[in-house]
Amino acid sequence: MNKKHRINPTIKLFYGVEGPNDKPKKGGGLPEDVFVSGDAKFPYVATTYRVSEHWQTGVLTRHLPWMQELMPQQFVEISKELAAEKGVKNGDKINVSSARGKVWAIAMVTDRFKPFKIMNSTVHQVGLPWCFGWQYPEDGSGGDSSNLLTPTIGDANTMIPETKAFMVNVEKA
Amino acid sequence: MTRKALLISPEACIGCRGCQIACKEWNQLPATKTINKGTVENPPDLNANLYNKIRYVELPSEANMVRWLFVSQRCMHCEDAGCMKICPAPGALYKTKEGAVAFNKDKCIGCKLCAAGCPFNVPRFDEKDKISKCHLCSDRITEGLSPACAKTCPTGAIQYGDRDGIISDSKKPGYEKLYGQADLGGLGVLYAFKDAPKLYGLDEKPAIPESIVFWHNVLKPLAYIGLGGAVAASLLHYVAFGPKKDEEVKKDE
Amino acid sequence: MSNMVRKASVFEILNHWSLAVSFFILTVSGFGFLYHIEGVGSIFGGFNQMKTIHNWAGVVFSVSLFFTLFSYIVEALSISGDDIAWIFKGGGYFSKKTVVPPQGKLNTGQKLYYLTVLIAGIAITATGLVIWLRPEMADIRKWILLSHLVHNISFVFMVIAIPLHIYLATLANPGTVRIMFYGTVPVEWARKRHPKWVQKIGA
Repeated sequence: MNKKHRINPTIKLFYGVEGPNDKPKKGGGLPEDVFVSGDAKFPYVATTYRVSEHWQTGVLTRHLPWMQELMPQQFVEISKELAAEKGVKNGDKINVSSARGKVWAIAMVTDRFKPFKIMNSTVHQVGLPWCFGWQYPEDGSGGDSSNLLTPTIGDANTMIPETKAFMVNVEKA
Repeated sequence: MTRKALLISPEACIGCRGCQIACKEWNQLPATKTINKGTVENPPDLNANLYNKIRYVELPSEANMVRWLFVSQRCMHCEDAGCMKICPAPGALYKTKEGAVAFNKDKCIGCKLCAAGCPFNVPRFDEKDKISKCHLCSDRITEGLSPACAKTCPTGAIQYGDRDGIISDSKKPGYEKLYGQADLGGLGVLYAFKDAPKLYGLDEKPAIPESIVFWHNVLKPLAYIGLGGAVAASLLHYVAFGPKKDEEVKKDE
Repeated sequence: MSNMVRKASVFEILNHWSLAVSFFILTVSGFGFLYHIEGVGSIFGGFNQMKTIHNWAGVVFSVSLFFTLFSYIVEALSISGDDIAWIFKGGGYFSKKTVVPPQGKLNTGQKLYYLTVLIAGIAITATGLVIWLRPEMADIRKWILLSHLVHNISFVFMVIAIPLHIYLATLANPGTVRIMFYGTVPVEWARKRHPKWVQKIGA
């Protein structure tokens, strides 16, 4: 890999900045979206997904008490190893933050997530759904959408927003 | 009427919990307010408005393999049902002709003894202390329909049919362990397991508590025999020895 | 009447009636529950109501039982050699010729009966309360099962002891049952059956 490339050179940058010191253009996002990828402040890989109980962002299904009963709150799945490192217990409320934003989520400490070994360093991954957020439940007990964390860039192949791999930090709330 | 049963195959379950909701829909049960407690499993336990719950069992992983089992937890519709044995109110719990253990809230007196008699810890109680549990959709199956959970299951992890047919169907390679074929006179909810039942969170040998069996077989008759015996002994004594008339009582002088 | 002696106070009489009536209600409803007797349920206005009546009759029974402590417990626990001799002679109930040792206010049989009813009554009350109120505690299911068992064992003791008590107080010993109504007995009657007591009160 070319060391000059801090990011995938083929991704779609919606705001058209070339370097970290460029001013963003109208309608675009912040350079941090892209260029903090390797920032030590955000050491963990995050991914997002749906849950079968809610449809898309859940604005329709979160009004259904039966669905809400099954899947009431934003959660983040983290490995047992990362949880031990951060002193997080299953069911704790934790903050997940990226260069763009911050959401709280309930920690789901699980074997389903495992740290990777990449070039002799351990890389932790976390995952959180984006079926929560705006408006309902009205008391705010559901939490916010993980879309607040994702960078405004397009996937290299499909150009759809890259929501499946980005960098975050995780800490106890 | 042949006995009907459900066959549940946790390995075929994808954990969508459609059955949990279909059950609520058919039985018109309201949702409860829940929170996430660090597991997908919700609500945390069966309750008066939840007759069927998927329990999520995450087994310790070996070499990155995670085994996540989804096991339906509900009334097992035992042939020899502990709840029915201990229940003091006639008609509160009854067997339908399909073999389901159904309940009648009007007849239930809210003593909650069935909860102690159940080997699977299933009965729950509503705000009036009346029993609430799975009744195998007794109102559907009498009309020849399958229970709501089996009807909605997209993968066939919950199957409904004649109990004998289900037992022979379940003998597939890899599913040698059929849970509930003989226990408690044969359960109305059978499980096709690949491993020991303990792994799926079920007792290897479920049984009605011994004290209830003892009570049912010994103490219950003894109450009648005791009362009858005491009365009979009194009459016998009256006839044989007669009363201790005042003039007959000897003074110890 | 000068030849009468008071054996039971008015309070004791009323308390005994309360015990007797509540026990009768409890036993009848208990058998209704035990054997699913629909007719018994109908008498009480359905099983739901029968449960309520059973529970509150139990409260009456246990309160009355508590008050009996003041009347009988001291007497019931004062055991002497005469009591043992009384037992060996079968209380004089199995022969007209037997002379039983002199007895106090309660004879040995009455003492034993009282202790049986007291212990079974305490057990049946405590276990009944556990089943009824289901206190918040760990392993409540096991406690309920144990209570259910003890409740029924006590019940068996009760349904054996109480018919015998009724028989002995009525048919078997003429003149006894009047205590339940008047509380008094003829001195002569008392002198024959409870000589130690008569001596003690100096009648």
